[in-house]
This record gives sequence, C-alpha cells and structure tokens, in this order.
Amino acid sequence: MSHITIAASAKAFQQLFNEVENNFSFSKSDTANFGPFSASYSVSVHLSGGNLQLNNDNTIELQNVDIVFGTLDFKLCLDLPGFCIPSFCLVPDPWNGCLVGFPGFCIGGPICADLNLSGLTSQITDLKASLAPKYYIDPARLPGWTDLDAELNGHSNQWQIYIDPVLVNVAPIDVPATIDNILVNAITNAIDNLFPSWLPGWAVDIIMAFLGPIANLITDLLGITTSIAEWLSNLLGNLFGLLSLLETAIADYFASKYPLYQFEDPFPILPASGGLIPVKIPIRNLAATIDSQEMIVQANVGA
Amino acid sequence: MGYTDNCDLYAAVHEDGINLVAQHVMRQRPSWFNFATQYVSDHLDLACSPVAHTIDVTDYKNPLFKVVSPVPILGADSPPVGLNFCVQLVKAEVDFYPGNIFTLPAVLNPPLPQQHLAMHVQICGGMDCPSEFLNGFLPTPTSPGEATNVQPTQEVVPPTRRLLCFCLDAYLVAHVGVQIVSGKPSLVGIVDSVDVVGIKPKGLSDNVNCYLKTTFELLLKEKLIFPISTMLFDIPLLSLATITAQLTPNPPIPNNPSIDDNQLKIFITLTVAP
Repeated sequence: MSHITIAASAKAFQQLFNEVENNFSFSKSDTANFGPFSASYSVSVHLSGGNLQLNNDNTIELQNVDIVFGTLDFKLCLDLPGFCIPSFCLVPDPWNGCLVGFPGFCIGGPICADLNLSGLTSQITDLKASLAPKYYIDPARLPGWTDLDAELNGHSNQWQIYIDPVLVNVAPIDVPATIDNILVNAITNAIDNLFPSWLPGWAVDIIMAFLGPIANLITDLLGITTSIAEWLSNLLGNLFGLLSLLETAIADYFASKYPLYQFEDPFPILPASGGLIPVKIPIRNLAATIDSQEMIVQANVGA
Repeated sequence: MGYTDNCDLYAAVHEDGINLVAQHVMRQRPSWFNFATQYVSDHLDLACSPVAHTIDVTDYKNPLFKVVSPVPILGADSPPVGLNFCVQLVKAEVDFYPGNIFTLPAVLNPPLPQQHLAMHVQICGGMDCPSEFLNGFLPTPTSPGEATNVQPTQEVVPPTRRLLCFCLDAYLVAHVGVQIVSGKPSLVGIVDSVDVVGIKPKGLSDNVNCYLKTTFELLLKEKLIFPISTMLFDIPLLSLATITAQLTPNPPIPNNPSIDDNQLKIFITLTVAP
C-alpha cells in the first residue's frame, strides 16, 4: 500500500482544471503573401467553458471549450487595378482655352484594410488526455546543493502532475456572415483614402461607379469562390496555419506548461522556525490515475 | 467504492509513511528530541546514543542538543553543584489501528482501540556520577549570617568522563483531533495514556508516566501540529477565493479524521461560490 493517498472528486478535479484552463493564453502574429494579396494578423487567445468528463480508461475528455480570440487584428492588402480619368475642360473659354478644367486623376495600386476581428471564436471540439506526473529538476540548481540549499535559493525540485493530451481537435474559426459588410466597408474606406481631398464628390462617385460593387471587386481580386466568411476562416485557420498552431499550443500548454498540481520535493512539513531549518520530506514514486469518479494521487515517503 | 464517495478531497497517510516522517523530523530537528547540558553538548562522545542528523543541520549550524541546566544536587549550596546529563529520544514508531507493528504493554489494555494510534518510543538517558570529584572536594567556607544579601556562588559542574546511560521503552495511546491554529484547521495528537515499561515502585512509575504524558501532550500541541493542507500537499484548491473547504461532517463521515486500516484519513467537502 502506498504511504500517501490523495483523491479529488470529479467536482474538485473540475475546479483544479478550471485553474489550468483559465491560465491558458496564446499570442501570435504573422504576415504572408498570397499572390494577389497579402495579409497579416496579430492574435491573442484564451479558453472558456467546456464540458469535462472523467473516464474509467484513465483519461479525461474535454469538449466544446470556446477558444476566444480576445484580440484579433487583421490586415488585408491588395492591388487595386489602376486606371485614370484624363484631364478635360469643364468650362471652356469662349475665346480661347479653358476657364475651368478637370486636371485628370489616376487611382490604383496597393490598398490596405485593417479589420478588428476581436471576439471571434473557435472551439476545442475534443481533447482527450491522461494524467502525467513529472519530476522537475530546476536547471539552475547547482550540483553541490542539498535540497535545503536549493529551497533557500529558490530552485527546489518539484513534483508536477500535468494533463497530457493524446488528442486535440480544434474546429474552424467561426467567422460570422456579417464579415462581408465589415470587409466591404474597410475596403471602401481604403479606396476612399486614395482620393485626394480636392477631388469633387461627383468625381469620386464616377470612379466608384466605374469600380462597380465593392463586394464583387473584392471577390474578384482575392479569387474568393466561397463566402467571404468561409474564405477568411480558411485563410486564418489553414493558410496561416492558426488552427494547427493552436492545437500544438494547447497540447503543449496542458502537457508541460501549467501543471494541474505541483508541490516541492522534498515537501516542507514544518517551516523554518527560531533559526532551525525547515523539516522536509522526500516524496517518491508519485503516480496519478483517474476514473469516472475521481483523481487519485499516490506516493511514498522516501527514506 | 471510491475515496471521495462522500467528500470532495480525501487524504490518507499510512503508518509506514508516518514512521519514515518521524525519522525525518528527528534527523532534521534533533534539538527537539535530544537534551543535554552544555558540557555533554560540547562533547558529543559522552551522549548515550549518537545523534542522527542530516548534513543540513550542521551546515546551517543548528544544534544537535537542546542545552539544559545540570541536575542540581539537592542541598549542596556552597557551592551549588550540578551534574551533567542527557536525555535522548532515540526511536519513535507509530502504529495506527488496528495495531500490528508492536504489542502494547498490558497496562495500556491491548488491543489498540478503534480510532486510536499507539506510539512506541525509546528514551535513553544518563547522568554523570562524579565520585572522583568528591574525593578532592572542599566546600566553600561561609560565615554565619551570610545567608542573605550575598551573591549566589557559581554552580560547580564536575567535568564528566562518561554518563551512566540507560534506555527505557515507553508506549502511549492517543487519538487525533482537529484544532484551529493560525486560522487553519490542523491535526493534533491527543495523548490518552502512557506507560513506561519496567519502572517500579508504582508511585515512581506513576510519576514518570505522568511526566511523559505531559511531555508528549505538550510536544504534540506545541510542535508536532500539522495543518490539514499539509496532508494534501497544499493542493491549490484550498487557496482559491471561490472555494470554501471544511471537514466533512457526520453523517456521512462518522469519524473525521479517522484512524483505521493502518492509516490516518481526512475527508473534506468543498463549497464552490457561484
């Protein structure tokens, strides 16, 4: 029989897990050129909610955890086809020349639209994991140190219990259909910014009419064959590889970044007092298992 | 049946583990278990038993002995004379119900009752017998009427070549309760009865038993008291602002803490704030 047994009910385990989940964060930014356009993003992500289930096969399963893009700044740059309105005379001079003329104007070239997509979500549809106890030896610990030296220098060894995922599935980024209007408005603004301030409104209207519906212009220029929402979801999730990055980050985080439970080894059971050193107990053979009811941690006291 | 069928957190420590813990405590806090005069503390070879200790104890200049005053020779006052001695707790082992590690003496009514623990300690001690000192001893002369308003004469402690050592086996029966210490529920041992084997006559035995019972009771209450969170290795749940932890009441848990199956067990219920 193990010297030490600690058990946490499913309810207690859920609370432990919440702490791990709430501390997850992921940030990433990237820029890429996709031929007719280039794009960049800067994202920060956290996790929220979900259903946790303990299984009798020594695993836990997590479903429907929201991946919330707390920040998602997206920038899209594309080449607007160039064309010119040549100069012409608006009010001719009856004797000679032109009293009021239109000097002519060319537009075209690169335009960029900034979109704030913060609040988009994805989901961890399924995460299956087992518990993995690990023994962490602080790399800053000097070879000649005793355990007490290590503690007093802030470099104690630790027993850590991680959630070690064997499977992480992340759903495509959920981009709402309203993104169409957001993108159209952003591109329209970007085109507007190309016009010099002296250009009269009627001239702007002529040019915009010439460009045709902006939505069509966007889909033509970007080669979009699906909805804009699907295209953007695919761009971020697959072409930028954000889904894959998220799956890896989530797996790494649970497996090695934030333990479910950790404590110092040797474990201090009596604090330093009156000049006397703390009393510390070596813990050996830590094991962590799970069934549908509870998590069980067992260990021995070292000699 | 699960450990947490009727609670949210469960912790148990087996007597084999507790006995290893006892050894660690004794090796890391030797001055809690070894008492001697300054002379014996300065001449470790005089001790009745070598003091087991970790290297940290000496590296961090912790004492091996708690230094105490010499045993006074009653009536000797010109000069006062004290004798070197030491008392050492050299072995301690715990046996949780049902008793299976050692046999209790008959006076403690074996077998060990339910929900109790037994403890066996071996105490070794010894005192100097300064016969050579007496051969050359000359009392300090005093004048009549000097009994008051004089500086007390410095106590003389004869140098010691060896102590006359002996060892006693003591047994105690105790149970475990919960006491709030610094706002934290903590486990404390409560001594029910003590017997030191082989001491006669009965009056002396009663005195020694009472002295030891008081000693253990105070030691357990003052020094060897452990927050319940220690048994759970400070599991982070207990420090979350949203969670209130309390010992699971009866019903559903009839004894909490419980001593059974050779283990000390605690059961905790959590309340999670919405």
